[in-house]
Amino acid sequence: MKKLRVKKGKDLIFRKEEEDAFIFTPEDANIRTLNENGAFIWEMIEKKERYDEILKSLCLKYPKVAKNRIKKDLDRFLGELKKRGLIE
Amino acid sequence: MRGVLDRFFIGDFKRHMKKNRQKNYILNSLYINPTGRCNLKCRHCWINPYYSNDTGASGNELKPGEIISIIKEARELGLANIKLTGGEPLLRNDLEEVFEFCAKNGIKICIETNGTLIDRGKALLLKKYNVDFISLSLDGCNPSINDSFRGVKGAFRMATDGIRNLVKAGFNPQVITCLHRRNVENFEKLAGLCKDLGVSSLKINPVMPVGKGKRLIKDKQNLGVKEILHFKNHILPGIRNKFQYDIFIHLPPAFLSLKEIGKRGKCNIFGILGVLPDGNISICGIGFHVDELLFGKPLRDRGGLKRIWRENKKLNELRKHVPDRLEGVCSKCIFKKICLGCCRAEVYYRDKNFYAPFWFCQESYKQGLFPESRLIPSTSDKGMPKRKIKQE
Repeated sequence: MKKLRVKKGKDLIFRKEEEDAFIFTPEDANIRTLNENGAFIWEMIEKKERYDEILKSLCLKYPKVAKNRIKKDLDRFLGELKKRGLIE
Repeated sequence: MRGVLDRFFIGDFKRHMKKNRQKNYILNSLYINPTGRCNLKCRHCWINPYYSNDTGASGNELKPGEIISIIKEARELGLANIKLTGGEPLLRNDLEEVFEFCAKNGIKICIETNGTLIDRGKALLLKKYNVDFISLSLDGCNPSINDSFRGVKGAFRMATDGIRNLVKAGFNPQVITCLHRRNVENFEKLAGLCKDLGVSSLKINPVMPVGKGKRLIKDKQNLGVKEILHFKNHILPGIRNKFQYDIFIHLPPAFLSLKEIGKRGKCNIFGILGVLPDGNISICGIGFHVDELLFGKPLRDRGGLKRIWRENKKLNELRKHVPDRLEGVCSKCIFKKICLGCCRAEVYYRDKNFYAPFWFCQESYKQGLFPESRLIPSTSDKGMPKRKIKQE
């Protein structure tokens, strides 16, 4: 999963608020909530950052956490996004 | 999804479960109004019951056995819980049979009461039948504020005694309070009193423009949308922080954080029916006011409750078109599938239209106070009111 991008034709709306972040899909009015890190990753995906760049940024953000643990979490999160049809 | 860091969490909002495997709608809750009478004369009451201190059933009210018959039929439609509400439900001192039936059959019981009739014996009786949740009303931190709002001298003492009796019996009751001009200044004292009494949560309701609430609004005894939002955003956090228990204001999801939306109950209009004292069925207690929303009497009419639930035109209209046909700001709200337009009964009462926007949201939109981040971007503002641009 080197290239990540928001699913085409989905017309997704990402909202970042004071306390919350969520993705809204108008076609089915579904809301997916993201925590701070989820929002951080989503913003990077929207900016068309590559997988390696996102992983690197997370490792910089959490220098005390082993890279393979962060990678595992990131992969799982991206899998969740893909399962929900939000990225391709 | 939970990862090692538990930091990337993504969650899906649960929407209202509407149908079972057989594609039938599930009747999850019955809101049962065993009486249309009340021993208080509250100035905001949306039901507007008639004043009475008489306990027991009056002539036109369902007998306990009749209430049980309706509950039995509702079980076949998926019933999981009942809410006994008002008039004052505990004026009916003959409901033990109903409690017993529910307890034996795993049906959860919730009671909304003014609390003034809960002596030690009543509290123990409710505990005996494992009543799940009890909310009581208190509208001021002292007898002067509370009793003038509740319309009967002594209401404060009786309600606080009721809370004490419930706590002693092992309940964690909730207090529901109506936010109005006279109690807002002393709200911190009220929150402190509730904490001292041992309540588990304090729910704050704005005055609803229904029943007697309309008069209260006309007399400007309510708080406007701007004042309510100021209270929620700037006053309440400090009070909550000071007393460290669950204090919240009941507002549509568009005004709540995602965490609050997940935590708070929302009106699942697709899974509820109201049972009025005379056995008539409605969406909820709104049938007290709106004749078109009386769907018939299951104990009298052919086909009973099942027929009403499955075939009533108004219910089917609601199911088919809410939230897709919601109008005004509700049509543009990101949370419309979760919120379902907040209180459709209130909207119908006011406009005779299930799809009109909810008053609080529409008014806040007009005043530029509806959160921009909760609106679906659209190029068209057709049908929308003019609004100020400023956000709070």
